[in-house]
Amino acid sequence: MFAELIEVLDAEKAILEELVNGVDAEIRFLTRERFDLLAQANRELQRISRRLKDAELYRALAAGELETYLGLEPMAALAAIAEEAPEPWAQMLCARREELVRLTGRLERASALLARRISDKIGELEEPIKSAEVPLSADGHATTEAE
Amino acid sequence: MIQEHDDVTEPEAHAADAAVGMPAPISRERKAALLHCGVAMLICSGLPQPSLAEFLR
Repeated sequence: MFAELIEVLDAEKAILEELVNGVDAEIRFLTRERFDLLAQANRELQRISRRLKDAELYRALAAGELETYLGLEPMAALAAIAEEAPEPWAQMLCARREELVRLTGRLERASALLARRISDKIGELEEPIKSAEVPLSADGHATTEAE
Repeated sequence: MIQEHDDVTEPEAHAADAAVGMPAPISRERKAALLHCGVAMLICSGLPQPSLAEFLR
């Protein structure tokens, strides 16, 4: 049971690393205005996110078995499972938790940076559209210089 | 926009639009760029997944 959870956590860690790399790549493509590559990276990130969701399901099943075995409440945190686990599993679970916390921190920072960059880029892309907007007259029609 | 046909080129059609106060059309490239940016924004707004943070609390 413990080995199964560790296996799932390792798989989740590998997927998270891919996600961090994918978000970093999106930042690079956005900076270079390579929107074709950004579109590809979007599709890849969606695929990775789906895999992460699957891994979360497997993790919930593996953790659920251990919660019952250890007499923990359902939806227990990994730290609580590690605390009740015998050695060497406790140490191994703690190590995985630290790695996952570090990775999610990286992912959070990278995603926040990407969100800011995208927001700036959308502003840049929309600027010519906004400045080209035609003012409307009181009756809702576009005004021209001749008017 | 005034449609391009045999005797009106695209630049002429745009010029005709501009003369009556219509804004220049948004280029296909710009629309695609905005779309890809929007999709990227949606994806990154869901990262990292809250359930993982809950498990690692």
